[in-house]
Amino acid sequence: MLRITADMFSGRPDPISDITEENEVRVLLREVESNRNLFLSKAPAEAGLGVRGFRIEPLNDEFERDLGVDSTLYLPVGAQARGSRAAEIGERLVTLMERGAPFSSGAAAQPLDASLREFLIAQLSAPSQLSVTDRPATAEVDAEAEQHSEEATAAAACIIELGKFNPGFWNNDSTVRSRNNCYNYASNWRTDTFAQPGLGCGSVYKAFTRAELTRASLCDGMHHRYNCFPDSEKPRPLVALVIAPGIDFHWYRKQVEGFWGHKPGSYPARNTDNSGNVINDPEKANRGPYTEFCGYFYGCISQARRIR
Amino acid sequence: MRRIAALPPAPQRAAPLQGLGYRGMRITGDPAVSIVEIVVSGGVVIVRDRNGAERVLQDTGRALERSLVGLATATLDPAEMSVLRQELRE
Repeated sequence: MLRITADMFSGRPDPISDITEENEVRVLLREVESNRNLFLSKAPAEAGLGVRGFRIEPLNDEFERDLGVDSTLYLPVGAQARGSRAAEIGERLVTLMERGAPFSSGAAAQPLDASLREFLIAQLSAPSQLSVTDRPATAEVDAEAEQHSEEATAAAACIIELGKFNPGFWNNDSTVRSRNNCYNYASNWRTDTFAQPGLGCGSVYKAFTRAELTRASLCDGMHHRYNCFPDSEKPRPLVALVIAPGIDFHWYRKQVEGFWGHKPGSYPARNTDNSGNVINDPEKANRGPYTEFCGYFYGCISQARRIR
Repeated sequence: MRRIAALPPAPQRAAPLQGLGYRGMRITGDPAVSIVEIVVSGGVVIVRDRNGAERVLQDTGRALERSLVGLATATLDPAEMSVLRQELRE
């Protein structure tokens, strides 16, 4: 027997359902076993408001034998999901919860009624990224036109993709956290190699200068901002490059929430600057010694796959 | 190691530096010994053992960190040393 909790509310108690029908439990356990990488042992610390995931707990000692775990499994969904199948499994759990017996701890229990089901399913299928038009302000067009006259005048607006902020993907596993850096984060591509601009295209940067880092990043397949990629190159994130002259480089990636995320080396991904403020503008953020702002770029899927 | 062993425990909310830029010194050693990593950062020393346990100690005035930076002088380039010294002055 299993207990499933939909981890979704902030004020009301979460809906809980006990699944007692043995066949349903067996089917679910098989599903869990074959998608084990999607599950955690507990809810990620970074979870926010809205549907965060599902907690599966044993109600007898067979769970441990069948799953090889001693207590709870947690399926993160939405921004914290660990794979594209998480939403599909989440929908199955919702269906199971409907069939199961609502659990009441004595407080105001929440049965999984039709309206809650509708809300849950809608949240599960919400896209983790959004295509938006990235259009320069008039003054920006003039400045760009002076620098890159053909590119900027040819494309006054580009469609790009902004992803949800999902630091758990980079932070929860110590291997992922320690072996992926700001370039991995900006490219939204885990290589476990501490990726370096230009290494993937065979021409890594030779100095920590704006010109060299720009050259190496374009070589990997990035574009200057407003030099559009076609739809076939989705996702096309907006990223920003800064340098500590002569010392190091750093990247930021714009998130769908409007702020910018980044990952300082082997340290956890975050959306705050050196002053602890949420980064709404990487040009104005406290960047410590990374004093030179080098510009905005677009990443794309070929670039992400190329990085090393 | 004797210096580290003599350090007092850090206050409960003490944490290493985590932002952009210099974040401290990390000492890693022989994987056969029980201590796998020592982080010396911003007045805090974190000693991690093979079992994942941590001890958080206080590096008053960043004295231990400064002496480690002194040891690194021979192997770091002048620009990197300049950043380290500037950070330690702040």
